[in-house]
Amino acid sequence: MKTSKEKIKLPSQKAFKSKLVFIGKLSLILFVSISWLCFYIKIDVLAHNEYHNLWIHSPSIVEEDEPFNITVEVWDKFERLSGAYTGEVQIQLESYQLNATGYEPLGGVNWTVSESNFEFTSNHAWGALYPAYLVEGADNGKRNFNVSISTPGVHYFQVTDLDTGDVFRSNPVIVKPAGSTFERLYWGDIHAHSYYSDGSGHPSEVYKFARDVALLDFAALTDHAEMFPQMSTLELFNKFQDYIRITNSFYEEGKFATLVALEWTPLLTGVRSYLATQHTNFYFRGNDMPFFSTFTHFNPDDIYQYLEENTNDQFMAWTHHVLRSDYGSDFGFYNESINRMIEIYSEHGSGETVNTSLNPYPTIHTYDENTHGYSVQDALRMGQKLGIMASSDSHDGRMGHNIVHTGARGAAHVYPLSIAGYNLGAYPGGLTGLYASVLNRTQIYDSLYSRSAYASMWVTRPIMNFTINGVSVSENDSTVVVPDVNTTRTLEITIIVDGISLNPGIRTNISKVEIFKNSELWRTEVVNDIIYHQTINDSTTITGTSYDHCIQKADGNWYVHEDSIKPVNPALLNTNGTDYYYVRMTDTNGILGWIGPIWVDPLA
Amino acid sequence: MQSSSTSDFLSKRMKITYSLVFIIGLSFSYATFMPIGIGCASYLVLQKKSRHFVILGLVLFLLQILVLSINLSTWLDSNFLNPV
Repeated sequence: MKTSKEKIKLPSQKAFKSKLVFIGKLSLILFVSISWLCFYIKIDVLAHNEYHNLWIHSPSIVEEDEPFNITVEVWDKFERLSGAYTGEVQIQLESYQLNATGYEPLGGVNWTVSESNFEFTSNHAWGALYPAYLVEGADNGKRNFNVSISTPGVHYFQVTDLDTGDVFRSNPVIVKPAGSTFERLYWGDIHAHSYYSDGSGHPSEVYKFARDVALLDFAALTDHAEMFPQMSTLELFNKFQDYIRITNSFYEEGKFATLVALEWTPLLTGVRSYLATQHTNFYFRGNDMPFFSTFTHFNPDDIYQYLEENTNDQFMAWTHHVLRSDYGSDFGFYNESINRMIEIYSEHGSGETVNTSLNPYPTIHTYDENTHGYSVQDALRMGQKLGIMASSDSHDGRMGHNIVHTGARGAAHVYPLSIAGYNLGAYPGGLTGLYASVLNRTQIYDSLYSRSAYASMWVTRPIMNFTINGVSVSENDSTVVVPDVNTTRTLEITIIVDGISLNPGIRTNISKVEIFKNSELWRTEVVNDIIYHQTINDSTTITGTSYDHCIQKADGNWYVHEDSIKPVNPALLNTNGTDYYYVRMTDTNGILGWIGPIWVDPLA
Repeated sequence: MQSSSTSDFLSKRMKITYSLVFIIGLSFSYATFMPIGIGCASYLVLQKKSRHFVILGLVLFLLQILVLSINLSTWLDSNFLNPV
């Protein structure tokens, strides 16, 4: 029996309500579907794959008469290979030699190239739907040329698209005299993600791209440990071992050096009181590593101890995107024998300084300008001896050349496909230039360990050298010992810009060179030229610097900042009387390069 | 007796089918393959045999909206920050 309070629904009311519910459900379905289409399908990215520019890649340092390959890639406006290109290109050489005051053009250069004029072939009919580099049987937007140069000097390959008359330049190549002793300059990206964690593409696809398209000499995937289906000692699907196996399978001595690496990612903030910051990449010298993650090891010290007890291999580690306020750095955990470098730049932006007037690439979700203790400059003020490197931290499967900065960012149909589908970064990626005698895994590891490296952005490979009183970065632990605090320091800086330009009408130059001393901008040189080669004296008194922004928490301990969980002694956070210098170059594309620091240690 | 449109007395086979649709929908609610997730969620929301599975369909939609909002946030970050 129905009570008087119960409403009796008429059939028409019921039908109306049911229609209303149906319309509501349909609206929800349409809303989500249309939102997905708007966010993830980009018609111009899908339709466009035409020629936009040429990218010419050369090794950075070769020996006189040594045969080597240069590669010409045809890019579309999203910096992907344009597979349908069938234009004719002409290759020429542009040469210079350094002198005491700068450089001068070099004439009478003897050189050979396999084909000085060449018409590209194509059998790629997929446009932007399928990547050109996976289609064999024709050039499909990428061609190698055999070259040798018989005249020592600085050279650029100049490639002209004969249909349009567009002229593009390579990165610089230094030809050393035959029989001389020199180190090679290798380029790599050692921070990127595959779909084994939150990136795109299978690890083998990512390595293949890095080797064959980004044309890297060395590379390391650093997938998030926490996203492997492996907890503690329980292994599911053996995916972690598969990840190591793939890294090893791509290693080819002399051609492509891969490093076994992993990213430790503190994830449990808010759930448990662990470290909220300090994402850290670990690199191993050998071909294996034990598994560790934030579920088993709660802070860097735990992992260092665990690794020292569980592997005989050497390892090193450093943090990155140090200025992301959602996962910044905790330099309280500094360990000089393990933290050898710092990633100053990636697709997240630059971690150099919170001062945006000095940082043209402020990190996504950066700390405000009054925050202290997270930046690379602050770490150096604390007396931490960190070399400078850069990586892409790419999540789009394009290690060594990500495209999140182009309009193709986030499109679901851009190969390689992503499970996560989103792109975390906003900027071009970064690369690390590394001076090493030969290209193999241990040498690359050792050069990184000795900080024989510098940082660059995007795909640029400028040549940078920096010495103080003849001591270069990495030499003598990157330290110049001088007799007293009033000794004059002679800084010698050589920078040769990468000739890359997306606009054939504009030649790429160095626009300025900035010298930072004790993390303060000390000197700016306006350049507007392709080569900067200068000697600068500093006769001011060596003072050293310190980090003066430690905070004392309720437990009575001092910390480098409020999020830090590792107590420090503020009296020790200084450079112990040494000054340090690093150099930052900006080119006319707005691309930066960093080299240094070198510390100057007065004995007295 | 309840009407068939709100009945939760499903056969074992239907329960398994709907559960599978939910699990597939959950797996494909990540961004790239979201159309599959949207399809699964739509199927669950529009069916009339189980109110519980309608709710699970709505949960899938909620998850998908969350993923889309993360994308919107990163898109805004990227577009307002990128000076290149």
